[in-house]
Amino acid sequence: MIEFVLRRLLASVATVVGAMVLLFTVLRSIPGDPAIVMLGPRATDAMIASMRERMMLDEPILVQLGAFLGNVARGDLGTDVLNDRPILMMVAEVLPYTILLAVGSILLAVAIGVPLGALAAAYRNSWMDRITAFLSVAFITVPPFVAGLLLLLVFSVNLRWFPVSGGGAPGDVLDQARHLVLPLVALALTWVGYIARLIRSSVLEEIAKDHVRTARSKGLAPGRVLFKHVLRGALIPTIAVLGVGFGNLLGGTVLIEIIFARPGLGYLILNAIESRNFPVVQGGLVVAVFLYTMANLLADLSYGLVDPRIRQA
Amino acid sequence: MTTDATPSLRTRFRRSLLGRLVRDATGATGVTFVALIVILALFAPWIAPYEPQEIDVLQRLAGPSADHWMGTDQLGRDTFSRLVHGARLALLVALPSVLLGALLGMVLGLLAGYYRGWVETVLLWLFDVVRSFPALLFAIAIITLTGPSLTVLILIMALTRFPSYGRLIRAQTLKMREEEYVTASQALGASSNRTMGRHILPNAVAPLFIQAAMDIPVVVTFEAGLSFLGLGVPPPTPSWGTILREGYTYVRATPWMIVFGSGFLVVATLGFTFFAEALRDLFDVKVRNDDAA
Repeated sequence: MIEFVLRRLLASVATVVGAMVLLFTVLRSIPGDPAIVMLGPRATDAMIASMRERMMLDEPILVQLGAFLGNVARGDLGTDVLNDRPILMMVAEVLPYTILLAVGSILLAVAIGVPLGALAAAYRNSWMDRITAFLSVAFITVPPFVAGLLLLLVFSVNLRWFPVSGGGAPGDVLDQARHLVLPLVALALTWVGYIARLIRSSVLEEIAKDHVRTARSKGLAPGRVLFKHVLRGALIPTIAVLGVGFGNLLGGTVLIEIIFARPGLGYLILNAIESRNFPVVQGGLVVAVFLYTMANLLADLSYGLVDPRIRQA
Repeated sequence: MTTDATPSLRTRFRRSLLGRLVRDATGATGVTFVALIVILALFAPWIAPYEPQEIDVLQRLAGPSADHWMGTDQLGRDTFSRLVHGARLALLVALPSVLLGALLGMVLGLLAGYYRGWVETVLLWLFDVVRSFPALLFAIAIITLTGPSLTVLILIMALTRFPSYGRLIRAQTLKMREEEYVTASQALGASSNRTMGRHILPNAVAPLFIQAAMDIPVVVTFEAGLSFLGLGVPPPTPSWGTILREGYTYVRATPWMIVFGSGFLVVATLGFTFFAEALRDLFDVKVRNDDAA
C-alpha cells in the first residue's frame, strides 16, 4: 500500500510540475506584452520598463521559469502588482467559498444520484427506471450555467424564494446557506445524472456476480443485499469519475460564481482579468491546477483502498 | 413464388445506418434535433425573419408577439433571428475544434500505443498534464492576452480536447498491435508508418468518431460559456452564449432571452448527445466520456 501511495504521489507531482511549465510557456509565448496589457495603452515607456522589471520579463525565459517554479514550490504565488498584496492571501480569502460549492455539490449529487441509480437498476425496465433514465440525460445535457440562469430566473427573480446574489452576510450561517442553495443545485444536477447512470450500470453488472447470488441464497433481505453487497462494488467506478468530475466542477464554478455574484476562485480570476491583473490570473490558475490534481490523487487512493487489486496495477 | 433479389426501398432504408439509428426513441430524437440545428445553421439567412443585427429601438425588450416570435433584446433586435444565426456560430466553432482535436489526439495516441517505451510515458504524461487544467479557466487566461476571436477559440478547444482522443486511440492501438495481421505486416517488412496507417488506424477510428460526436455538445457548451463571459467571438456576431449574457443582464426586464436561449442550447446538446449515444450502441464500442463541460 505504501508503495502504491508513493507511486501515485510521485505521478501527481510530475503532473503539477508539467502543468506549471506548460502554463508558464503558453502564457509567455502568446504574442503581446503582459506589462502593456496590464498598464493599458496610455502607459509611458518608463512605466512599462519598471513593470517589466518587477515581473522579471527582461530575464531569459529559463530564468523566469526557474524563478516561477521555485516560488510556487515555496508556496509563494507572487504579489499583486497593482495593490501589493500577496496573491496567496487573496486566494485563501475566497477559496473556502469555491471549495464549499464544489464539495457540497458533489455530496449533493452523490446523495441523490446513488440511490436513484441503485433503485433504477433494482427495478430494471420499470417506469421508475425509464423516468430516471430520462432525468439523467436531461440533467447531463443541461449545462450547469444554463441551469443556474433558469434557477435564478424562476426562484430568485420571479418567486423570490432565494437571494439573487452574493455569498451571504459573514458570520450568519443561515444567510450563507440560503445563498448557497441555488448555486449548489445548479452545479449538482449534471452530476446527479452522471452518477445515477453510472451506478445503474455498475449495479446491474454487480448483481449478476456470484457473491451477490450467495448473499441472496443465504436469505438476506433484498435491501441489505443491494446496499451491503452490490453497492460496494458498484461504487468503485463512481469514485474514479468523481475525481475527474471535481476538476470540471472547478471550471463550472467560475460561471456559477459569476451568475450568482458569489465570492470564489473563479470570480477572483475573472475580476483580475477585467482589471488586467495578470499575476493574479496566473496565481489563481496555479491553485486551480493544484486542487484538481489533489482531487484526482485522492480519488486514485480511495480507489486503491476500496479495491486492493488496483494497488498492484 | 417469386424471389426478389434487390430489396425494396423500405428494406434498404431499414438496413442503412440512418434507418438503424432512428429505430429507437433516443436515436430518432438525436437525429431529428441534430438535423434541425444543421438546417438552421445552413439556411439561417433564409429562415430568420430579420437580419440578426437589425435594430428597432421602439421594440426593445419586448415579449413574444406575431412580429417577434421570441421577443426582442435591449436594442430591439429579433431574438429568434439571432438564435437561428447562433446555430451557425455554434457549429462553426464546434466542428473544426473537434476535428483538429481528434486529429492531434489520433496521431499522438497512435505513436504512444505503437512505439511504447519512453514515447508512451511522455505522451501519457502530456495527456494528464493537459487534462489537469480546468479548461475554462485556461481559456479565459489565454483569451485575456490574445483577445477573443474565432481562431483562438477553435485552437484552445482543440488543445484542451485532444488528450481524450489520444488515450482512446492509444488503447485501441495497444489492442491492435497484438493482432496477427499486424505481426504479419511487420514480418513482411512493412514500415512502421505503413503498419500504423494501413493496418492499425482503420480499425481504431470507429470509437474516434463516436468520441467526436460526444465532444460536440461539450464544445458547444464551452463556446456558449465563454461568450456568456464576454470572451467568445466578439459582437455583433450572434452567439447563444452572448444572448444568454444579455438575458442575464436584463433578467428583471424580460425572461424570454434566457428561456429561448437555453432552449436552443439544450436542443443542440441533447440532440448531439442522443445522436452519439445511439451511434455508440449501434457499433457497440466502449467510449470514455468522463469529461463533462
